[in-house]
Amino acid sequence: MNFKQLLAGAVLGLGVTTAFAQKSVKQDREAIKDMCGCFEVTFKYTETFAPEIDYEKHYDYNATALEWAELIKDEKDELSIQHLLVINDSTIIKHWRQDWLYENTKRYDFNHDNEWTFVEMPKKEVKGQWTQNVYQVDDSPRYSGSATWFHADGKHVWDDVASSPLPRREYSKRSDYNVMMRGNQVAITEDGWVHEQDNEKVIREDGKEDVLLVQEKGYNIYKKVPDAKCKAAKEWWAANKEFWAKVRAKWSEVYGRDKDLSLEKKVEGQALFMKLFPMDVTTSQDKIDEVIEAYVKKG
Amino acid sequence: MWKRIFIVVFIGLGFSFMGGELEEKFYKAIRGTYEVDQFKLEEIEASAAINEKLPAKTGNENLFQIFSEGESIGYAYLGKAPSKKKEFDYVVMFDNDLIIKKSKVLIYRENYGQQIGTQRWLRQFIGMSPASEVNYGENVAAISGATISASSMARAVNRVLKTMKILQEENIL
Repeated sequence: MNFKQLLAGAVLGLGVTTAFAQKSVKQDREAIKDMCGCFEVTFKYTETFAPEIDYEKHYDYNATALEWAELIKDEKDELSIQHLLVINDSTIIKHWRQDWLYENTKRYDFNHDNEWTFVEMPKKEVKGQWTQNVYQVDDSPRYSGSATWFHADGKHVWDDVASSPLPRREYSKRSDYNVMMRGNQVAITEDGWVHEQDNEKVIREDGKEDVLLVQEKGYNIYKKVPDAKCKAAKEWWAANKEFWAKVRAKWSEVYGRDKDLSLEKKVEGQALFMKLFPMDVTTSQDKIDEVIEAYVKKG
Repeated sequence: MWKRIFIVVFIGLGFSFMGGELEEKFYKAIRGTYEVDQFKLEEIEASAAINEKLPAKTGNENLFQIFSEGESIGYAYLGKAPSKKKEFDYVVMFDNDLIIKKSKVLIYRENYGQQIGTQRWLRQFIGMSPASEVNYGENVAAISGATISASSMARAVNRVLKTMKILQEENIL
């Protein structure tokens, strides 16, 4: 084989790789966007295995909801989906948010007790990966993980393990563990999508190894229904999105500090969402900044 | 006839009378079952003559009366029973009327037979009194694959019930 043939082979190989990567990113983006729309959601959780024989498993958790997931950012390397709960067809509650960032190198990992550790990932480690950043209802951080989307055999799947605070369903009810190691699997299905979880409820203390309390299996099943069922949520978001854009702008500035983050659970006896939710949509950026900043611990 | 030894237990403060892990699990079981954060234990020890008659012995940190805010809230019997090759630690907890509130396996030392720790099985003992008779496979369901340990636990609870009956008749409880 002469030099020309070698060069031609290399160029062809590069071309195939690039085309494959582009196709993959396109599929990734389509899969992420498939999580948008109106969904009837079923939440099912059951505790499974505990290492200690005297552990008493808690009752299963079962719930249903109607949820609107709106694509609020659609850029080449970044997609953002805001979830809204629809209660009794007309009451809307801002729910969680998920951002997806392509080949992202910076994220915040939950440590414990409202502390997040700033993590910088090497570029080569995140090649082809998407980071899923999940945020609370007040857009403060929740958990984050980076992994590759797989598209094969008609399946579209992304999974990772992320350290996270207690889930909302147990946040005010449990104090026997302080970290949930979430095994997250997002799978796009014919009916919508499934967020399957293999979680570990752990007790974390500084300088000690994590202690496993119990494992948990979870399914959040999102079944797509006509958008018309979520009309009220669409309208609510249209009326409130400017306010929440300001909230995100402030958080973006906080996250951009690129250092460990520690947040107050309450200020003046109130959680952050209790202060933000009643605010008027015309509230100024300065006022929003001031309210959020009060929750960011200094030093 | 009998003597009582007081042991005060405060949340977060260990009192090493039986050893770390077992002690911790025993206190946790009491806190969870009686829904108290702070409590006091009083060990009940029957005289040698009565102890001789008891199917489940006292005097080795086994039987306790539990107090919270100065009031008795029940009794707990802490014992050991055999599994296939080793022993496991269990507790049977009673209300003031000597009705079983809950039983738990606290420490189990073998890989087989751990099913006896599940409350789905153990809850069968709830509501039994000193007048009850535990019959494994009849009024207490058998566990396939854990026969030795499950029947051992059933016999242990039966012995504790018989003991409580004798102590009641002897006016010790």
